Amino acid sequence: MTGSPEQVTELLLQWGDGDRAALARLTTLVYDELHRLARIYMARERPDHTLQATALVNEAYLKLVDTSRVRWRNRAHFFAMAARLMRQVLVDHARSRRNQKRGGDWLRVTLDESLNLGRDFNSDLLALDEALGTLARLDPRKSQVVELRFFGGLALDETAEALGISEDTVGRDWDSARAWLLRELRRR
Amino acid sequence: MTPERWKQVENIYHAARERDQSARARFLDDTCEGDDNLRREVESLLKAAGGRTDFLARPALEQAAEAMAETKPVYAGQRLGPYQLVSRLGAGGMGEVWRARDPALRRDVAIKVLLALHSGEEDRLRRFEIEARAAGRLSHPNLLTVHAVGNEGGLPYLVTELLEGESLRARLKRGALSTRRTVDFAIQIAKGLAAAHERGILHRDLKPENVFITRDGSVKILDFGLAKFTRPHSTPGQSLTATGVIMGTLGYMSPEQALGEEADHRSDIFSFGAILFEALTGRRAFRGDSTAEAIMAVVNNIPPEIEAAPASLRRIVRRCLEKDPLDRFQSARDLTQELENARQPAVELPPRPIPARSVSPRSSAEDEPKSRTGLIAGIALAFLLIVTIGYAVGRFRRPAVPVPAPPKPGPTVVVNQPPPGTPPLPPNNPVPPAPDPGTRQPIEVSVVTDPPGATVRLDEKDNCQTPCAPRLTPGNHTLSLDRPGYHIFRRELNVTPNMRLGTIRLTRMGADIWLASEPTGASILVDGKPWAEKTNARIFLEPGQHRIDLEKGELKGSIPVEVRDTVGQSFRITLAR
Repeated sequence: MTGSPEQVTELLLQWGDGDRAALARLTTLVYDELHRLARIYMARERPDHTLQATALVNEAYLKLVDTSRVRWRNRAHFFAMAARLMRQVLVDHARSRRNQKRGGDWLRVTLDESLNLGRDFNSDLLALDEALGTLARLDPRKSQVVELRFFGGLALDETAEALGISEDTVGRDWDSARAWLLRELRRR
Repeated sequence: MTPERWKQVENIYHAARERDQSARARFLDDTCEGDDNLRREVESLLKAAGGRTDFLARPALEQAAEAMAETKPVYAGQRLGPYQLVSRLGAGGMGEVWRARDPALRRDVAIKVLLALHSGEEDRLRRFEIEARAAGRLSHPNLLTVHAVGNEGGLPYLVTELLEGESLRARLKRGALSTRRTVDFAIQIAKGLAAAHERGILHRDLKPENVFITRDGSVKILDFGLAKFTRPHSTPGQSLTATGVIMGTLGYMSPEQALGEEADHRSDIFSFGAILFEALTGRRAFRGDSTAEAIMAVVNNIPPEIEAAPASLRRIVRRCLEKDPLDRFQSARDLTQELENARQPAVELPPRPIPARSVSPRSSAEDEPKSRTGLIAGIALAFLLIVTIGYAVGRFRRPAVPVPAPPKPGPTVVVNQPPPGTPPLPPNNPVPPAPDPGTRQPIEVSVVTDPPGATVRLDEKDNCQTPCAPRLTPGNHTLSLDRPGYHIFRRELNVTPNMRLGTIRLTRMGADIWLASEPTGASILVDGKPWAEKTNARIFLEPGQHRIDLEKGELKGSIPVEVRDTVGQSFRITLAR
């Protein structure tokens, strides 16, 4: 990761103002971070200690955003941008992986609880992205909650703060949005 | 569905979630009031929520990184130490081979990224580095030159010269070699083996995949000393080929290796014999349709005489393939000598274009084990079962003893010709220019390191401390830089009058440690010494035992940490009074 949190924050704000070049740079930075994490996972196989894995990912997010700097700016907007960025980069990545693997021909994969879902994460992610689009039309706030939690890596309280709603509401939204999305994915 | 309808579904869903499983049916009956569609909607949501799936439970970045770790951990353009990956050349049991750019010397190299080494295997990793360095010290025209061994973020890699040509396996796919060519290649392989054996290094997995023929016809043995670091690595959907994979390697293992016994350099000589047989006949010396049969073939079968080959060569093959190591050639040097002797008559023979299959009058029978009655076959099978079990037990019960190298799936293509359609390669793998007698004067080569103070070792002899400018004769030298607490830097130099090395950055030994605390903002003490950072932070620590203390006001937390070189760790510590 060559960008400092300050740079990333600045780039995110620029992207928010519609600067496409900022997005290209951000994408590279997120990719670098993704590859760095992947290498750590490679080296340690699968981190069997969930807390450690979580700390690692938190660290990655910490590196991407300088939260202290955005405190006085529009915090909610900022987190929304960061989560949107993460979604965009990861979904693009999943799409390119799928195209490489299947020569552009995508078979939809049924979610099966007996399978290790991580194995086909890229397919799941693409299906989720699509379902999330449908959810956004039905219930925009719920799709935001999912974006912040799942892509942005925010905790319940942070999500509540970013959206200016109560933690209870976030909890309820997250619960029903999750049920809705998982059902959508299973239907495919 | 309309947003209003969804609101209704969601409210009933939440209300039902708050009730016990047993009370839900009744509740839904009452609430949905005969609206079957509404009820089905709610029920399907409840079912989805009750599932055990964890797809959304962990952050996307984490899962994406994991998925990537399983599939594609390195990418074009990525830097590994000073090298930049350019394009993937192939993949095998140990990992992937990439063409990479060495910016300091402006040449292309081959980098083998060892994906097969994982966590919990730091010992294996350390041994790998030691072995690879040992193999790297071997400098011989018939051995692949190892330039460096590195480790980037826990990912070990091996930097070697980039070869152009094809593996003997690829060559043999087009049929047997002429006697003359076979002898020529065999002498080169034997010389490479002799050089390694004399330094105490065994190959352990010699096979046509590991023998490379360059465009100018010279032969290089690949992957010396690395065989025990490979391991089978099955990809989903490949389970069917797993057995075939094992046999591919078993076909070249010596009987003692196949039985899980201790193997020495004479085991490599057996493998050499199997390769020689195959080069002359185009057929494998030992085969079997299952692991068991393949082991049996190696242990019991005697391959047929190669009738078209000169007697001297037949004798050599036979002696290499003796079941008892004591009956084989006792050194690769003796073997080389015999091959040299065999060369004379071989030159006079015309190349033999007839494929082996039509040469052997009993060709189909020759492939079968030499068991003549059903009774013997039965006994052999019983023996085999014992052997196979013994082999398996041996593998698990004696981890300290070198066990036969697990097979690699498919060929370990190390360096291949570029796929058709790729532009011709830039001349970046030059043959060292023949030293001009006029420029034989020593040349000053400035060696600057960051940080300074490293011991410069040239051709394995201590020379000076950086920054310094040793004088070197033009041509090839081995440079290594050693500074306590830093990874040893090692590189082959081709000294030319205008050469510049640039500043060489040494990498510190140690690893990143991520510290997260609850609450954050705690000051960090490592082994009693305060650090500038506050949590959450990443700090770099030297290998060894450390004690980390966190402090925030009256809240404290403390953990012991064992740092291993290049192995990052992360901790989340809850502070308490």
